[in-house]
Amino acid sequence: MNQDLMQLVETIVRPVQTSMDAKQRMREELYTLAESIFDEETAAGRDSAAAIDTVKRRIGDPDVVREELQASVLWPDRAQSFIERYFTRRQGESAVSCANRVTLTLLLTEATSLSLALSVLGLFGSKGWWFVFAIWQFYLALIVAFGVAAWGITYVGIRLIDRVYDESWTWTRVVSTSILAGLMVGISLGLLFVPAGWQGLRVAPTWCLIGAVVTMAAFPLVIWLAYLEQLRRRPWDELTISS
Amino acid sequence: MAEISGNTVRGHLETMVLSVLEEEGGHGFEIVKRLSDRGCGLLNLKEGTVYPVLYRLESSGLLKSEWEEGDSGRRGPRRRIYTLTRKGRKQLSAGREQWTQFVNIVGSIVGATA
Repeated sequence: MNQDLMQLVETIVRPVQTSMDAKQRMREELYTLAESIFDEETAAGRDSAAAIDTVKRRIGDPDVVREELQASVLWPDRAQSFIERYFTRRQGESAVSCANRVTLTLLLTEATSLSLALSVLGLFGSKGWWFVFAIWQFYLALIVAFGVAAWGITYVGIRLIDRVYDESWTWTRVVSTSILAGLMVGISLGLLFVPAGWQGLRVAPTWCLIGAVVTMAAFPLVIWLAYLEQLRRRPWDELTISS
Repeated sequence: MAEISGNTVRGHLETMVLSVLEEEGGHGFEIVKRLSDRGCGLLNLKEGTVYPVLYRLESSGLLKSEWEEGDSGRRGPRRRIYTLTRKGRKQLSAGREQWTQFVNIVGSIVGATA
């Protein structure tokens, strides 16, 4: 792909606040347009530099095009971009740093929503505050279990995607990482069932096993899809644009 | 004849885009070319601004789009093909009526008809 054209497109599209999918679509579509204009101009006998200048003129003022693209973004895409900012890996970010950030965001979201739910139960539920106190162990276990699984899966997932991207992956690594992810989910579910046992509830360990097996099976597929997404997006993310 | 700037046609750009897609779907560059050809080269439209229009029309359900299938023999990223929906065809008819009305009214005021 032509780096000058990519640079022009990225200057327009990167600041647009929209979902990553929508942004990638804008990039690809604007690039094909820019490339078609470029091909037309070079076919007419212009040299590469002159053709690039004409592409810039024909595409229009980047600020105006960006403003119009932004105006065409619907609120669900804006909301999604807000969420994605916290849950996706940033350019140049390490796997540990990304896993920490994703886990912290998940835990804060979970703790806030559960606290609200428990408060509502305590204030308005028929069983009153005693019910809330009785399930506090479950609440804490849920946070711990969720945190452990989220951190572990994010970390091993990122490491595996990096290896696939760098073409340094092996089937042994894919299988072992999938097993590790499955074990983390299984153990996390197990943690969740400990307080249930304290409350005298019988929980079948089968659920831990099912969770682990489903994770092991789905993990490679999710990693592959994430890799394909990264393959499309990374060349654009790696471009440096002037702000 | 003098060129017509993008600002002059802004209010009618959506109807114009719908009209060039009436016969056959197309991707962004084709749409720009059709607009330019039908305007006999006098329509000075900044080509980057066609995508915001396409996105708005698609969000409104007037257009639908899908990535071009298979290997079209070209390099670079995929192209997205836009086609008119039934709602889009109705909107195009309404847009044409509005345009005719607009031309008749303004023409009678300024003392010139198309």
